[in-house]
Amino acid sequence: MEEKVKLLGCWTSGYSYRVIWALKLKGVEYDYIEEDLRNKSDMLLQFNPVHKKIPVLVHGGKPIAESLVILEYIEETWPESPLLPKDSYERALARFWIKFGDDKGRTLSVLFFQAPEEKPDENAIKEVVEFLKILEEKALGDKKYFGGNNIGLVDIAYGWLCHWLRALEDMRGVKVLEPSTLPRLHAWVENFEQIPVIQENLPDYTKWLAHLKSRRN
Amino acid sequence: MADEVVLLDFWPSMFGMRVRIALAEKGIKYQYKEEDLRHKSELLLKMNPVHKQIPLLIHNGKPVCESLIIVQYIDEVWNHKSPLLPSDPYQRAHARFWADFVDRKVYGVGRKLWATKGEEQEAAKKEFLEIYKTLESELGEKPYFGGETFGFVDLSFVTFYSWFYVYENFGKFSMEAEFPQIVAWVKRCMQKESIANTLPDQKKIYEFVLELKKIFGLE
Repeated sequence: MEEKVKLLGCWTSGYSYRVIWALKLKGVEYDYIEEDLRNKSDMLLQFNPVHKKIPVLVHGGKPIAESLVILEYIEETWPESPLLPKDSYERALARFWIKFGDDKGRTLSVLFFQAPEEKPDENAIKEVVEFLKILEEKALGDKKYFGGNNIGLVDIAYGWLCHWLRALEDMRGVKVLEPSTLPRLHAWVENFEQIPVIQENLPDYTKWLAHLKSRRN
Repeated sequence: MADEVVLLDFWPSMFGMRVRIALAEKGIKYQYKEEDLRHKSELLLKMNPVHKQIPLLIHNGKPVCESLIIVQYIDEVWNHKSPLLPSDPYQRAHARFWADFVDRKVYGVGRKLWATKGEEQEAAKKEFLEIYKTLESELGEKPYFGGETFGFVDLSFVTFYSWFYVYENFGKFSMEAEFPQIVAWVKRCMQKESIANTLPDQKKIYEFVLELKKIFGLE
């Protein structure tokens, strides 16, 4: 008998969606529990006492925290519709790019959480552009997706870029993903958002942007 | 065809040490190349253009970067002996979670402890003690973080042992007094040849840090 799967998540969190996409792509049934991050549930605190953060996946009563750890767990537990390559070297490369994105994600948030009247941090913008260039040239190359012809964990890990880059433009007037300068990455965003599972599981952009704006005040 | 394995590394790096231990555990023959981080080699810059960092494993000409990614790669390719990760997916997730915790918390706070002064250093010490308390609590009564046998989390954390004297000296506390279980665990790990032969002497690391502070004007 299949053990129950529960996901504690938050509709505003990109980390949460990574897990949703992986579960949906593999056809795994799960119960979703929306957490109010300003009023964390006892269940969340019990299942992730170290970081007290979402997402947390609970499988047969056993909790797993940290989105990237969860993604690897999902891949190993439900091997159908594989999201990581079989070859060990290719897997190491995939893991490298996933970590690269996560480490850089923190720089992007600097740009968002500046006060609205402050001019966007020039150095942060330069760093973001550099980051996107590396992604396009070295990680994506001429492939349709980071995973090749089909999406994989690297695409899922970078999915947050789609909404965030748009929000960067709307909130801070900073446009970094232009089809003229980053054509392949720009195409990737469009392709990624067209995938049915992704399309059906993205927060409403307007609602999400409003939430981001309110969080800053 | 014989495997060609090269490791670009820097002797005091706890990240590099992880890879050295993993290679030793698996009995893999490799060529060690010491990098001068202030004058990085052409090979390093070519093989790791994104980060230009060590450790860097080159296996039959193909580079693998990031210490924990390298360790997982080694575990998958040389899977005939000394497994570094458990086979059960839930236990693997548990191991990855704690190795990630070590990666994100332990290095940074240790560095702040020896590189800062005054209030900043006091805050770092407080953070350091909290983080190590969390780790000691996770270890509990187990002989290793991995349970009965040495595993991935042990590997990710034990390499900081060579830096303990640095932390004690600058933080002005005793690791043994504050964290007796962690110290007992380290001593247990040091009975393994692969670890005892890999970890540099604590005093050598301390001298290295004194030099570093001089060079960067952090005295």
